[in-house]
Amino acid sequence: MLGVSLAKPLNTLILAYRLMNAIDVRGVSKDFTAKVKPPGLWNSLKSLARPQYKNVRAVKNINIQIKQGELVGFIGPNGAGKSTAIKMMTGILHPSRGKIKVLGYNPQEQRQDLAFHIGAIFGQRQQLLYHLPAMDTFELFAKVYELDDGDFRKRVGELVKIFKIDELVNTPVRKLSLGQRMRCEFVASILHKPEVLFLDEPTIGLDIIAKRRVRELVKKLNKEENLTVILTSHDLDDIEELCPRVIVINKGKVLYDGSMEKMRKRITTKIVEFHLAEQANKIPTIPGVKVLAHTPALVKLEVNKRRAPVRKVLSAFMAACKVADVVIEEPPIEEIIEKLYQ
Amino acid sequence: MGVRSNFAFIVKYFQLELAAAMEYKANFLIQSVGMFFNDVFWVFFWWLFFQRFGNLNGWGFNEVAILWAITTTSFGLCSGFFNSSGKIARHIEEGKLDYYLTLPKNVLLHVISRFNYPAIGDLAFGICVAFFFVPAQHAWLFVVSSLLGALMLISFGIVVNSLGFWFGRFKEAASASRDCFLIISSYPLSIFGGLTKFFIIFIFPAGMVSGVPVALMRDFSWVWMGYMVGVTLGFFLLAIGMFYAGLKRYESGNTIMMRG
Repeated sequence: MLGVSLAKPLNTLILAYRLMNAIDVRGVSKDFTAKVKPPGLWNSLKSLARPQYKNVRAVKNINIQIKQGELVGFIGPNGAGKSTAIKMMTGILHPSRGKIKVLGYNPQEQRQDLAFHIGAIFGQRQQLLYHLPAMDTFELFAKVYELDDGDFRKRVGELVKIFKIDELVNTPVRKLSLGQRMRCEFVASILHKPEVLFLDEPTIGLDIIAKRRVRELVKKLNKEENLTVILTSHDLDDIEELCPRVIVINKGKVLYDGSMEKMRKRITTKIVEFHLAEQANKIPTIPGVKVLAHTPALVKLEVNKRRAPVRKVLSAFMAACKVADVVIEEPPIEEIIEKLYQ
Repeated sequence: MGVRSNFAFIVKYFQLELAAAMEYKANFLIQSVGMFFNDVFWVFFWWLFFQRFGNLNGWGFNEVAILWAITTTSFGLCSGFFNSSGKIARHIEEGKLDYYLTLPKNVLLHVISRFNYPAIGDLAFGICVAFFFVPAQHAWLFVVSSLLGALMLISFGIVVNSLGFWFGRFKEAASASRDCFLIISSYPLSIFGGLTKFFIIFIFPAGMVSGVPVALMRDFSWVWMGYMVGVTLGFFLLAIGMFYAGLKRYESGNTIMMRG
């Protein structure tokens, strides 16, 4: 109208914003209403006449900023609020309070615009058409994302090679293994070259080899396509191998947001298992070592690394017992979270 | 994101669903043919009824045959191409809307657009009966009524299913309401009177699907034509409004889900 085009400066601003923060979550909370009903038929009848509800805050005032190209892991126990947070970022759920921007878009008000730039894989939800070959779903998604036919063919060709699914794409999905299916799910989710990929438990139910393959692919996509990846997983190995940055969520709150390395340093215990070749009548007593289990074939210990270095514990046991095998593990995720909380 | 891209995507969707149905050809044929003969038996019973009783408050077998032609054509269009308009409450309850919400398409159109091949039997039946019973000068009215009837069935399905956003578990109630709506639409309007008639035309408008169109074929009135268009569009707008208002209350879920 004034002979001045605002499109160029606006696009520059959006680009600059994305470089600053691909995801910007500020003061976000999410409340759900849950019906309260004690057990029993009488209480069910009472509840029918006078229902009672309580407010459950699944996410409590979280603040998260993620830059373009970052690989961030969300960890936390079941019901911690990880999936709820991700679903608000993708526009599936509406926050009760606070503001979210993903790639400069408001996920709730600009859901369709944003969806062209993001991809999502929910481990327990399948997007591939079950009775048809994966290629049919890819073709459907080409229409969904309004891809040019030539670009689509080229992209599918590239991804089929990267994901090594050339022999799978023409087989009905119902005949594929879980690992094969997950590789096809990945291709469906990144056909449109998203800038942000949300992965909610992508390795759930997969065997070790399939898990490793998924991790390699996520790394590759992050590196080669500068893809921002938000990953939730129960499997600490997933997070440890992929994510330089972790966000720990429990009871809806962010307990920790920082590097994996720093988080590890805050964990002072290791679980050490000695599988014995012969029964040990007496086991060494070391300060800082707690015996969790002692059977004729196994000794399970919780080792406080600060008070008793693992090397020292191993030497003492090797000298005192006939050890057939040793397993050293991190404590379970719930314990790590508990320690972070303390 | 325009009409053209949505249309291209829906056409592709139907093609794939037909291809998926063709994976099980015997099932496809038996169900489609089965629905056709199910409708044939209903109309046959009405023929027996009129052989015995002559007429029903002025309606004869011809009127009932046209009523069935419009109802089954409308149902065939609604259930054949927008079958999930009657399954939204299930999607809400099981958290299945997540999939649709992560894709850049109109969520309501995407959710309801599902091809349901048995309904092709109903559609074929409706068109066959119309061919024999609808007078040529009213063919346009049959086409318009069937399209409006389909829109009314889709809208009613969305309205009752969207209540699931507020009530949580509502799939059985929504399904029962939709069946009740369909059953009422398949009975002659002449058996209802007074307030009941007003109720089933304007409030629970099953009568608008086929009863009013048959009355229009007997005695055309632009005023009633206007009511028919107005009430149908009103219900359509109500359906869109309720779905999107409810969507803000959607709570998702973690049910394991496969897509057929």
